[in-house]
Amino acid sequence: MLAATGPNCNRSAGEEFDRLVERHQTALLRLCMVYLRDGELAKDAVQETYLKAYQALPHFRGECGEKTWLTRIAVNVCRDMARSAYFRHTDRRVTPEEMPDRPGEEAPPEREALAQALLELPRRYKDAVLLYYYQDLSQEEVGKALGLSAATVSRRLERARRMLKTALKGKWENE
Amino acid sequence: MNDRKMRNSIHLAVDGYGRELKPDPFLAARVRAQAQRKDGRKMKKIRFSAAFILAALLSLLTVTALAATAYTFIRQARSVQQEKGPLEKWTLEEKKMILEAMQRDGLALDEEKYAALEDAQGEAAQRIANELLLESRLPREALKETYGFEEASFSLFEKTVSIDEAAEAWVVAYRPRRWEERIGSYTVRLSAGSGRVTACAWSLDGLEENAFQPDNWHAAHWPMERVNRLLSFEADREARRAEKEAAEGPFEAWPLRDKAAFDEEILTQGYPRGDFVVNILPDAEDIPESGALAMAQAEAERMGAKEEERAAEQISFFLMPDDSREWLIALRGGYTVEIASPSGEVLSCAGPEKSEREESENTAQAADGDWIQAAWEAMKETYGLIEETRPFFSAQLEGENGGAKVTFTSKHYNPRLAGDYVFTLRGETGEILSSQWTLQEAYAQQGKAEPWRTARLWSAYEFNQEALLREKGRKIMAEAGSEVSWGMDFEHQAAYDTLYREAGFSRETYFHGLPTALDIPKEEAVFLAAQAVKEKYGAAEETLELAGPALAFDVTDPDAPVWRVSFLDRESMYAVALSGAGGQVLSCVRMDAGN
Repeated sequence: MLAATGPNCNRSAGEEFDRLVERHQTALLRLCMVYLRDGELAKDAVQETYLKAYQALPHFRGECGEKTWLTRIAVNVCRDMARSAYFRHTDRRVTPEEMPDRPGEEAPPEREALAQALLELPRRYKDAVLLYYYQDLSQEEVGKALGLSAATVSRRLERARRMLKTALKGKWENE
Repeated sequence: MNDRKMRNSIHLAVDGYGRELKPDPFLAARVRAQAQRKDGRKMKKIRFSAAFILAALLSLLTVTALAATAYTFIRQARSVQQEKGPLEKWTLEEKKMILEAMQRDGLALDEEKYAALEDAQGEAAQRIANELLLESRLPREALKETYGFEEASFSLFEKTVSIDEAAEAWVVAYRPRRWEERIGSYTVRLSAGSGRVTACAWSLDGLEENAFQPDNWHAAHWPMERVNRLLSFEADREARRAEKEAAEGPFEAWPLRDKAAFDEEILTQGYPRGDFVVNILPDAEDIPESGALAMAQAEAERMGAKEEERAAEQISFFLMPDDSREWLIALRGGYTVEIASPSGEVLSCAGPEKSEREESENTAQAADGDWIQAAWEAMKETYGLIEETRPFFSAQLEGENGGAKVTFTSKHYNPRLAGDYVFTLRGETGEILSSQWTLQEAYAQQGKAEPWRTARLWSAYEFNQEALLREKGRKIMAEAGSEVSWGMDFEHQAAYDTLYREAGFSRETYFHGLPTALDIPKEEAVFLAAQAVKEKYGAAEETLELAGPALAFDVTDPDAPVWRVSFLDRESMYAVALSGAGGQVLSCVRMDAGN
């Protein structure tokens, strides 16, 4: 929790901000990468996220986890960017198979398949899956983040699971 | 797949998908500078990607065919290739063996480099060996000349180098990463004897001209000219859009018909749109604009939007990737509504940011600490974990049959990689009744990986190594007087990153290294970078002195290291990339905080 080490302790806001950047930048990059499917756009989104966070930091009272806080900002930034002209008209995405192999870091095929299936989910289902399963928010929190009822989130998660199951075919049960 | 497995799998998939992205060491400083300049105006994004894009392009330059004579060395190389695969997987000893054979076969190697190889260690030695083996760039030149490749187009291709069956030629194959059926693949053969290009081929050579018609991306197959055009098409659109935005404001706020007109060429030209949406105009069967707006306003009202918050801000109508159609309406109060057309189904309605909720944490209370401590002691004793690994685990305590069950789960690594350590304890005494590590059997089958960090499943051994690694890293940071892992001086940063690279971490994340004797020294790199900035932007000497420099010797690609010299002040940043060996300027860009 940020409150224990946050703006109210002896650190300056600048130091606190540096810590937030160092601690969460990589996770946010990965989240944004999945949303935007483009490394450069993901970097932009993370920069925008931290800009918003920097401006809001003096008002952040540590009422929730810093990760949740940053994630909420990042998701909104990604949604905005996904609607932007830049995103729509620039096909600069990177898919897993385009990434260079790195000895010792190859992902197992089933993980690649799941990543690919996840990427191919329609956005409204992908949003729910990422917030619920990857960012570990509750269904109610996901609903608040997306402007949906918890029941709708639940339906979307159920639908997303079915879509993933279909996409993964026989690999599903072996996961 | 149950919910927990699903969660684990998605963590792994997402983490794996984004593993190539490296943190930006300048991010915090840049954001602060950007915030200070904001003054209530909406800022545009700063883009710092040019150098990275260039670095990615350069990485494709390095694995090229060898100018060689046939005989012993090439047979040995084939043998190693068959056993180990591509060059990246060869050991240094194997490379040295091939180089010795090349000398015996009478090939003239660069004496200076060959001598440097004797003294070099680790990554530097690997890099020099690679240079000696593979420094020809002939295949790229041949493809440019024969098929009209442009430098940027190589980024669309993946290259592999192999030795042909008859051991007469190196075969360099270029396969497109996307749209292979349309683009085809290219192959260049180089004589093993002379090192000269003997043949250039395209898998679509010989097709009738009509296979490439019409002259746009609707065609079944694309010659290289059209591939080149694909890249310039994007850039051209960006330029035109930027020009129009400068005059008329952001694209999203343009009138519906203007957005549709701008996007029309995507459809007429057959530009591969993947899963991107295209702005179109609704037809007679679609919900009209006025109807969609009314629906969106009703949704927003239902969510509590006041009247003034329900005014339309942006209205778009999209052709979706699956060819469905959708209205997207953004209202002034921060409400965004998506409506399918013609069905009228409200797909989503998002409101403005809500206040954060308390994060739920599944951690044990202080009163439960004794149980957890007892289980932790047992965990160390049973599985060999060292005390320094404790921060890596969270503990969950559950009451069970008058006693307790404590489960340790990795906090920092996905549970699928680390498994759960489960202990049951007797109620009265806290005695450990049973212990279980859920990956015991699977790990025994896997065994230890080299380097350890690359192991798919982690046991106590890997966690201990991780803890020791971090301790070493902290020592380097302390020596450097830095509290963050990216704010050290040049030498310490290189030592820190080398430590992590050698443990198996991504080279792209831990990219700082030290130049070898074959590279230009840092003083020369700074001098050349400053010259480039002065020549290109007319920056004054004193400006550059005040602004830096920040230095990095980027060894992401060990065969093509890059000096990155940045002059950063509150207003702008000059970023210069130079080839490590020759000091050629690869890129020189200025990024203003406000643009």
